[in-house]
Amino acid sequence: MFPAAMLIVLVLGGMAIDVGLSQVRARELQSVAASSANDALASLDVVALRNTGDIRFDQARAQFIVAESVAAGPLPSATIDFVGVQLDSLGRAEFVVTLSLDVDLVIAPALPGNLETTRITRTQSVTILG
Amino acid sequence: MKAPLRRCRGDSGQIGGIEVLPFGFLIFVAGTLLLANVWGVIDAKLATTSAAREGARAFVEGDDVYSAAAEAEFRAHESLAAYGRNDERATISAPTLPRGFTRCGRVTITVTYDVPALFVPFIGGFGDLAPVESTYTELIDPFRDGLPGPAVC
Repeated sequence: MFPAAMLIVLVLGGMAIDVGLSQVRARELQSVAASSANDALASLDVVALRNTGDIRFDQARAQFIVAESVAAGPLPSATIDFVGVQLDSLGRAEFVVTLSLDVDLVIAPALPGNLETTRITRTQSVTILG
Repeated sequence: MKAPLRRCRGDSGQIGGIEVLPFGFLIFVAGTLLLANVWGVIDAKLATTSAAREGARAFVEGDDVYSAAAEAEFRAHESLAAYGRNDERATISAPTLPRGFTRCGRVTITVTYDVPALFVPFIGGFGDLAPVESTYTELIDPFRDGLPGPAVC
């Protein structure tokens, strides 16, 4: 009976600690994505916007700014999945940043199965109001 | 005086292993404290993340580096207070500005909070479990006014 009870305690501990840890990391990743998306607006071509009203971005510059923002933030090991401009449901241009992060779990590796890390992905967008 | 009931005499029906129940109770208390502390750390992390973000957001909109730093600290403390956090346990780092207070300058603010090892409602926390730290970084608005020099993002 004791092994079964211990396994239940481990599973509950895993739920409390590992889920909590991954949720905290997910929230941090969301914050980093929001910050880097906001920063990436600096790659907007202001001259083109003023002269023609077109919204253009320097993609390489945006990539660099996002990479710099991620490196300086709390999760430097996060990977950049996507940086670019998309249209939202109202047809407005929005700058989108998608980041991913592998979270090392604490309790789950001690449980049956092969769950040592979990991958979380977060997307944040900044709407460009013309 | 009535004689005690027959079934109340003797040891028959006594629960075996009752002496182990205190250990079960201790495990229950320890488990409850563990879960409460885990949640305390998560909640503190949410508070410090918000405080760091609000501080950095306030800083990048400041008029000059001194007023911006003061405003950032005020906003971070205000954000922690909104989460019901004890101000004395929080440390707000001085903003780091590798490129100075210019357009496109990057500012980084770190907020640290010492989570109490044991928190008792209405009484407060005792001891330090672990410092919880959050960092937020942001560019000073490249399109803002009031700062000399061009934006070099």
